[in-house]
Amino acid sequence: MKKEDIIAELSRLGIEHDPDAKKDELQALLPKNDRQVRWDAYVENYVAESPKGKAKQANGEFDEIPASFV
Amino acid sequence: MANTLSTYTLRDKYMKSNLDVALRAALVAEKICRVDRTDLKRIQNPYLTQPSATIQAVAGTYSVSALTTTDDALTVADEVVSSTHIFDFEDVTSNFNLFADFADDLTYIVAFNIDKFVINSFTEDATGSYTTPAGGFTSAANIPVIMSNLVSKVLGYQDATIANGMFLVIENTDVVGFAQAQVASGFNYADAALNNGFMGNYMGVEIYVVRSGLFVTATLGSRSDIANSGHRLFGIKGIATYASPRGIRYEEKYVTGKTGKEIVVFGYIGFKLWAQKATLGIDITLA
Repeated sequence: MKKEDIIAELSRLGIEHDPDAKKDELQALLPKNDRQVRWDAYVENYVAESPKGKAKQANGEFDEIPASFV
Repeated sequence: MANTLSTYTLRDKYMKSNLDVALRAALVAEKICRVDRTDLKRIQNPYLTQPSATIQAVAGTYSVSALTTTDDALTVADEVVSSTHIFDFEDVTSNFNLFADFADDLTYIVAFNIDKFVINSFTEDATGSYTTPAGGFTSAANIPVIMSNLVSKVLGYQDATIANGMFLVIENTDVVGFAQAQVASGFNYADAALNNGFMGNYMGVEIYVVRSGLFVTATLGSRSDIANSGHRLFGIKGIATYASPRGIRYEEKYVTGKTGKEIVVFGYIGFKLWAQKATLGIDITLA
């Protein structure tokens, strides 16, 4: 999602935000949908439990939700 | 001027005696794992920690060390199920044997999901690792580099399993780089690839192609630790076992409140990459 799209969505939802803030900070203000919530929980559990978790996270593998995660 | 003919005046024929089915992806697990279909819950395989030895000038003395054994086991803890119901009016008035055709398709999808479970468990549990150069398997120039690196990770052991041969599981989108590398390198080999198409063997490694999307990041049954999106699998055949007690099974049953019968196809599944061989499985990260 582009920064301008995030700002537009925040404005549409009436969520107070600073348009000059970084994209990550703005994205964090968006309400999370069910899939995002489940994904965050999955990643948190995986990183904590799997010996490969930290390396995969550092490699950026969890930055986006893969299509296979439903 | 043409005559006006009603629909059933004209002749139809059927292509086949059974219903056509969706394209089915290749199944790989049986080709790279040992398979056990006996009625078991667990397979035990305790292992011995490797001892050490001392090279010393002749003295006749030594120190005694204790050896340790560790339990290792495969447990059948998951099942794959698929089912449907065929009403009697559907069965009676169909041109096809619906029970046979539906059961065949349900059986395939159960087998496919067992395969998916095994391949993803294998990839997740493999303790060897390798990250490809940028472009992964889709870049022809990467193929010799990747394959030589993978092969080097598993050679040099005298273990009998090495003789089983090496395998690589890739998705169909990875074939691009392979195909280009195969037709461009070597002489006889390139000619063979040009004449016959994609070669299932490269540098002594058997290549198994599955459909895009088999390597997943998702919960699979009791395994909530699968994160294989963007990964592939390489290793030695036979270092892992999957158990499917009695294989895939089928039941037809009458159910209350409905005519016809319910069909259920199911299979139990357990997987284990044995601890002492886990480094011979290489979890490939695509860059």
